Amino acid sequence: MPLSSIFLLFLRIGAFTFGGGLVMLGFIEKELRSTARLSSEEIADMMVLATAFPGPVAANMAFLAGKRLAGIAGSFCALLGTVIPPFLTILLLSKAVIHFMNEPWLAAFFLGAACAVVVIIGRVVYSMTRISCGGRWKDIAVFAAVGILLISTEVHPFFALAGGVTFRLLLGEEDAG
Amino acid sequence: MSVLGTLALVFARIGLGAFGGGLATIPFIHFELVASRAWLSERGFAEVVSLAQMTPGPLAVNAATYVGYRIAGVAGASVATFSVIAAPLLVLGLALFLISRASEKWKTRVDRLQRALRPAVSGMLFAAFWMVARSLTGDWRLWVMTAGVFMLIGQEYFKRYPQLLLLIAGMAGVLFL
Repeated sequence: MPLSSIFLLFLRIGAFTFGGGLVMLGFIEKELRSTARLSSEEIADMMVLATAFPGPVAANMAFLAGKRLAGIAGSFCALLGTVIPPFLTILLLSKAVIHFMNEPWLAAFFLGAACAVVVIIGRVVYSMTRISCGGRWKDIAVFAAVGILLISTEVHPFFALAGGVTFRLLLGEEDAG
Repeated sequence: MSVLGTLALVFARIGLGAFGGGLATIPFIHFELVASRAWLSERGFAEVVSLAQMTPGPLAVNAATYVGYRIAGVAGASVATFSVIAAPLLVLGLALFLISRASEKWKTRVDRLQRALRPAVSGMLFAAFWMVARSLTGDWRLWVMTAGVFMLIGQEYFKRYPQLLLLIAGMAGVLFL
């Protein structure tokens, strides 16, 4: 696949994926399958790596897919394509936002939008948690411990996460049934 | 340290801490920018999250561009965006290299670690949800609007384009708040 097509493919992904997270992964998968002709297995492998490693999932995904399609140069083009649209959008919008910062209607707009953000995030968290804990008490215990720790203390999230993983490993494998 | 150096360092840390992508970055951004540095107020933080949800691109990248711009203009936006993406990719690149040469025994260990990571990441996502939800308490109109969004989100159309809900909720905010 030529570098320019890789760039354009990821430019499209970067420009049209709102909301981030899981919504974005769905769109990337669709594009990679139809435009870049990667197999579902390959894409699934990339997704596991992209989510298990630190960093924005979309950027990790662009890096991996670009590398698979055209080596390191492909990674670079994919990353550039993914980042340019959000970068320019925020730059333009943040100018406007800072300019109107003290207008009461803007504050009201963001406060209203925050209501929708809470619902959207709530849904994603609910479905993620159902998949990753789903009635297994050891997983639920780790989920609760990490959540409560982060909400009630000022501990750095990395340590909460590392603690949670250690705790889960110490609990051992889930009993069958 | 110069402002740009600090921005680079802070956002490299945010990028490295962001396991699970998207929403999972929220507690990290909150810790670095609100809790330990006061670069953003609680309100400003909610604004960044809303702005990031309404615009294309990963949340961490959006936050980097926005905060970088507010603190040090276009140069700040560029430095913060670059470092939130580049820092974790170094780790991913190194890990890929190591995994490609790992033995079978190590591959099972990596697999176990990944499974232990899932419930911990879910707990962190719940904390992210809580942090955004917390900024909405105190006004009954916000509760009503949140309930309204909750009823709308079941519609197939809004499931596909959740950013429309943000716009609607934002406009409702301008009208009613």
